Amino acid sequence: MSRAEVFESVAEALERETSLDRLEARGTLRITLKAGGFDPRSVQADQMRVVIERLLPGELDARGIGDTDRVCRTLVAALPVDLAPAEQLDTPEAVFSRLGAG
Amino acid sequence: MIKLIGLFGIAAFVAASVVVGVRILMLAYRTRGLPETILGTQLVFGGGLGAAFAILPRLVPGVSETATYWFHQSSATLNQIGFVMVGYFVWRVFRPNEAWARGLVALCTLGLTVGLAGELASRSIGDTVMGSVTGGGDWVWLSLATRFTLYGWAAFESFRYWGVMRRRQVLGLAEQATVDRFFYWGLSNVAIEGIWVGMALRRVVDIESAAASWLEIVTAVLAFVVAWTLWKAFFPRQRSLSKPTAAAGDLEVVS
Repeated sequence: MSRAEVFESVAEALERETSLDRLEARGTLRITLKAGGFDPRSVQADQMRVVIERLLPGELDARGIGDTDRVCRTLVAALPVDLAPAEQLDTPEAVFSRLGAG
Repeated sequence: MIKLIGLFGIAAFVAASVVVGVRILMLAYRTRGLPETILGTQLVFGGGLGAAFAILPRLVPGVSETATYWFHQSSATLNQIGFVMVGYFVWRVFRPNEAWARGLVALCTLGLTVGLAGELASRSIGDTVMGSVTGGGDWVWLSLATRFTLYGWAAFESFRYWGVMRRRQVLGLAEQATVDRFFYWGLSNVAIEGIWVGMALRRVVDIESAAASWLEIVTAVLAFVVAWTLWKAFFPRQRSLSKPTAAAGDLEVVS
């Protein structure tokens, strides 16, 4: 599964679990990811999990969505297994992290 | 005195570039990583050997005009290779899938190549690069404009990603050392941009004027800044500065 599909699967689950329509669900998720410094096209599943747990409840509260704990638990449960490490090697973060290795 | 300060600044710049560049190339040998190879090559060729060859004639007594000429021709060539590597690194790391980035690198490589060819052809024995800076003709302006573009792009992408990493750090998904590395590399590139501006201004001001002296001092300070920021960015920390990550299942950055 590509990383763009991580975003897609969570966006679809958010639309199912809340009263947000497709555009609202995707927009909310994009805003939340941006606040966390992530791109919807490249966010990894484990990064998405942290964003869902730490940032999404606040965004959902702001949009009047109740029972955010249940919603977020459902979204986390719907996350796919992360991709093979080889695909993560040359992101800016990975490269700059390696450059400081002893 | 001012000349001495200038030389010390460049010496610090050269030393840091070579030491950091060699260290990164050794890392590249272990990791087989292309970005490390590109950046290490850039530092050794451009910041290190290129700058060193430019100042060597001033340090070695009795160097002939012919030898000086060949030092400067070599310096220009090594520098341009380094500048191309900067563009390639920024494209490869920050914008690998962007057609405009690929086009920008291609255009700048062409500009640097044409500029280098013109500079090499127009420089004569007896011209100097440092000091009177009359060698190389108007072709140096093409090179200056191109390298200014590439290093400005490098600084922009590095600071932009620094902002991204700081947001991830709040979530516990980025280590302090890696966050800092983007900042210091960005600052290094800004300081280098300042050096290019100084080089451009030295080509138009009277070399005996007070303005020229101030330019030399500012350039020396910027050279020290580059040396310091390269050291801060790319030498491994002795202590861990990372904040704890969010949970046990989080993916750690590749190290």
